[in-house]
Amino acid sequence: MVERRAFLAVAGTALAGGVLTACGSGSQDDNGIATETGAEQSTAASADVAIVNQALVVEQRAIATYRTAAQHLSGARRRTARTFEAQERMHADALASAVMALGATPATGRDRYAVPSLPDEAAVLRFAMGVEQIAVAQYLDLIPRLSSQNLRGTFASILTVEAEHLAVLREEAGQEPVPDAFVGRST
Amino acid sequence: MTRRHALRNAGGVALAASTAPLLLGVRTAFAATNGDEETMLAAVRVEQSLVVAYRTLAGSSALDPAAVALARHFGDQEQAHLDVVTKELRMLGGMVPAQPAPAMVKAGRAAVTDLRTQRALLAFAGALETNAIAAYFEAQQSLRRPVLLQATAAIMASEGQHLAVLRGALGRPPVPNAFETGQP
Repeated sequence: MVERRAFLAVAGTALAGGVLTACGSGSQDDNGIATETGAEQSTAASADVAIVNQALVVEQRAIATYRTAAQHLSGARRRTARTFEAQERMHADALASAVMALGATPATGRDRYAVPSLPDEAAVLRFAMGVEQIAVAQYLDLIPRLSSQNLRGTFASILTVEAEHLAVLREEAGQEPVPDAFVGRST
Repeated sequence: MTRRHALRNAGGVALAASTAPLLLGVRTAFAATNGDEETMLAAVRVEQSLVVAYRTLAGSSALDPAAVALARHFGDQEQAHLDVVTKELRMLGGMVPAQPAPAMVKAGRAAVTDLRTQRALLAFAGALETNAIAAYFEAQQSLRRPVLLQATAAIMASEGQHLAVLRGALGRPPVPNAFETGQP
């Protein structure tokens, strides 16, 4: 129930922000002077669509990664992989909803993703960590490029969870879970 | 945002009332800011609070050696966050408070003194991190400059990593939610 509320909260704000942006009615300052034309807002919305779809591709890769990971893990680690897969699915659903709210089509995932050799659980953890490191780097790059403040909030909340996943995986792998003060450096 | 709300972020562990000023101060840091300079000044105050809290925690006799090491490690990372937000504030031409406010230091000491067990101290740290995440979540939606958005997003994610470790140390699921916004 808490997760559904959280999902609706972030997807809903993205939805509201997207609908507002897509209206193209232009905005005005306190003196009634237009501060942004409808055309400018439309361009910004189009740019945001491309950015959200980039993030969606990242999430689709993450879903596939944890699905594979769960098949090669056991016990508590398998449960963790399944939990993380479910969370990545919620990310993907929120991002797809945001794209549709902007009047566009969400990016579709691949049928198959490259998977390295996974001879043992340590290799599986390294594989998942690598995917999360890429996700963290992508979100850090994408957030400043978004024009929608609501979408920035959504992205930041997802980025934080990807970073948390990474910390958990590191700890499982016997590493220092938070080696650096800034994600995106050592990530 | 009320004191009760700020205290609720301890994951079910009852915290002393003396923790409320620091928790509330962090949670509401960005509430009344207007523009990037004010927001970054608020970020400096948030990070000063976190540095004070972790340094004070590390001195508590109620923590075992592993927990002391954790508090020191996270305190060092909060200092790194403070250094970056301070630098960004200076680049905006803003005035940087040289020291944490005496009231903040006093609040940190009072909180740690009143929390007698390791569990309560770790829950307090978790509540601080949760409130910091909630504050940075707000800041992400108000900041304008790309460099500041990226820096604060990275800090918010780092606070999330601290929170995940603290949750695990308290025997709770480290990542219970798909979206981390700092809400209880």
